[in-house]
Amino acid sequence: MRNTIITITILVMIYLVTGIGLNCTITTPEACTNTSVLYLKNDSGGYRNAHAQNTSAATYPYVVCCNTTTGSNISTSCEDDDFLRLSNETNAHVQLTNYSSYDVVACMSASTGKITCTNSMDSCQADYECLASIASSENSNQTNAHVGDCDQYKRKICCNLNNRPNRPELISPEHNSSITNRTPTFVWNGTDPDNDTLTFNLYIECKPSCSVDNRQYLNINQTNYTIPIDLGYFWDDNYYYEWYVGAYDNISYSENSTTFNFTLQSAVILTLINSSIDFGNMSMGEKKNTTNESYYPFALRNDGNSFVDINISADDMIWDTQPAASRYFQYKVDNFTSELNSFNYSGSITNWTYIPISNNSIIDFLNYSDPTDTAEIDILIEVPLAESAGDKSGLLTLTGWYVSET
Amino acid sequence: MIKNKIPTIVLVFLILIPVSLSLGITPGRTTVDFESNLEKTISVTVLNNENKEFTASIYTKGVLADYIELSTDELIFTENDESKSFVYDVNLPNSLDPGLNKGDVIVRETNLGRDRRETSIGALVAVISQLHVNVPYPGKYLKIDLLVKEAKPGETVKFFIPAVNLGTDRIDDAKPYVFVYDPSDNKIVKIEGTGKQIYSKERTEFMLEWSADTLPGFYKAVAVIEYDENKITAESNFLVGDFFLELLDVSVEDFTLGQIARFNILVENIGNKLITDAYSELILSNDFGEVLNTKSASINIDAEERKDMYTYWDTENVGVGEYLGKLILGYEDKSAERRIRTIVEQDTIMTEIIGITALAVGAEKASPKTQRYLIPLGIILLVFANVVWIFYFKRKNDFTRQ
Repeated sequence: MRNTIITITILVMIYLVTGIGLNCTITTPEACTNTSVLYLKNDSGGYRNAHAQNTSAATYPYVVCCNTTTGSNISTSCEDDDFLRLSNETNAHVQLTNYSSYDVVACMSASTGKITCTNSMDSCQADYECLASIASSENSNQTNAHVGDCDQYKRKICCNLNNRPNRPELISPEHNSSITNRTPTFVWNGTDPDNDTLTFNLYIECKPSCSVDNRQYLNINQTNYTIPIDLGYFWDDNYYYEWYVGAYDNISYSENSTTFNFTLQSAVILTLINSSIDFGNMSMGEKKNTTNESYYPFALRNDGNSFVDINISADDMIWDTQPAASRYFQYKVDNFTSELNSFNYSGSITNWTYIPISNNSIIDFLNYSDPTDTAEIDILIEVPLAESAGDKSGLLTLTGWYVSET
Repeated sequence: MIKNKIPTIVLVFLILIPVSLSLGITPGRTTVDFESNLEKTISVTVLNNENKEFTASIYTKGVLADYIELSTDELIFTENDESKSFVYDVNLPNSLDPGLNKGDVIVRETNLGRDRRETSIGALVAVISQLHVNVPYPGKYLKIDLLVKEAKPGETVKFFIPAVNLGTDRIDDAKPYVFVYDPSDNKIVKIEGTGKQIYSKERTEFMLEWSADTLPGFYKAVAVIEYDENKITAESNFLVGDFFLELLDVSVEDFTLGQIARFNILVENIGNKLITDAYSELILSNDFGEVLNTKSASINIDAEERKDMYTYWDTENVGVGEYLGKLILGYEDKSAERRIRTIVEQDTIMTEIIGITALAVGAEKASPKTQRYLIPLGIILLVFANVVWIFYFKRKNDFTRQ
């Protein structure tokens, strides 16, 4: 007994989830507790081989009575679809809706979801409910026809209630989260009561006063999407993003998901690929620099997620006799061979310049995009004539900070 | 003796390791609006991307340094520490100078692996988390920018004007306008937006639209906001359309297989400004691979001007047949390509631009030289045929009479 109840419950649930959602039967008006969509009467007062009557008259003894299993209310409004045309309001012959010689249109609509109607021979297609069948001697039973119940004639009038997709549920970026990835993957859940295949629209909005960066990615056929173009506005400057998703089952749109907020934060990450230069043994007055292929210049890569500016300062001037900025210790910024255009060349110091003790801005807008995110810093040294012999070393600090793109 | 040498050996070993230094910080900036005696705690994370052991020193700089109190001045990382966080407290004074006040929280790797060989230079990296405090200016002070969402001809260009009231007073009516100018500085259109109120420190945005029913090309937009007896402007250049070279025709004249064919590539500058260094590149292949990859000389084309570009193909070892390929048009850093099909015959080259309706037929139209011989030849053949028919019927009649 218990197993039977469980089985029945499971079957009912499966039906509720995957069923057609629309039930129509022919009954008397008094017995129809739901929506009457078409009235029928034949010469003997029955409903087989009958004439039709529109719901505006509502005097015939039989009706096609429809309800839904989803709680959606049925009406005879034409907002969703029509299923037959009638030659008159009452005592009418019928024709299929692709004909237009009859003026009265019989329709059905659902308060939630959408009804679509069609006709087919012998039986209705899967997920469609049979309302009635029709027949005549004209045009393969398509016009000037009588109406019967679904068993009577070969040509069936069939309708389907398509339930709108469920409201998508957002997963990540989480609500009120902070991210540093400028091309994040947006993830959500989307389901459909009819198990229809869904597509999704992803909406991202930048706030406040940055709607130039709003995006819409439409017709996504999976429940995640990695945006192809970098988000442009950082929380560092008090901007944030909102995102939400809508689902579409090719007939109906879901209600949009709730809206999640997230912020994009800058991450300034600098990597010195080459952090030391050894000029070897030098004699008095000798000059060497890293534009000579024997010595590698410093190479600085921006591994962060935003443009940065770079300062240089000397913690330790190399020469004991030249403790201040001088021609004996110079630098210049240059393109890294394989990564041209990594920075704003005209705004950077690209000619030989004395290395300062305090900070000097040397690189303008060093890019963060992988193919072009590295700059060279060439160093020139000249041994002052008064310098004493011995090992000599200098130390520089390269300091980077976030710069806004807007 | 050996015991004394160990630290030296370790130090020498340490300083000679070629080190790639990496250091990160997030957020790169925190921006706050000024409030008297504001107290705020800000969290900062230092990133150890390369999972190294190192010590980072933390210090402050700038106008706001006096109002920043660090929770620590040093962080020690092991190779297992991907990141470490610290906080700093901001305690703003009663007043600051109007405008943007800045302070820096600097994190710097300490100098452990310093190289001391002969004559050497070492470098370290430092990263900054900035503190920006916006202090309102007395009165009304509006700051704006102009950002343009470009479009193709006939579509809608959108002008975004972000605006922030940096003053202490409310702006009662800020009314936006956008003026669009062509490259000759002729005003094309004036667009008027709806005015609005903007409170002190408030950030807002105006969005104006323009249906770009105009020539493709370069334009300038000037945004003007009139607010409470004041006016502020911002301008930006923008494009209508994105590529201004249009391919009209490809033809080859006076061609004979085995000789050098000259492709005349007729293009039009559909934009409103001179295009410099326009070029075309013709690439053709057959079943065995690429047979032609040639580029025209660069030319300048005035606005709305049509001009030929020339590329050449030495057909000495080229066979009759069909060749597929592409024709690339370009200028500055822009380029566009069209697929083409070229049919080579003994004395013609026909080039079809695939995907557009035009059929560019190159080569001569059966060549005037050939026509000169074909017409008399046709006449001779007709005369000969008639003679044969007359002779045939005459013989037939004679035979019937017999």
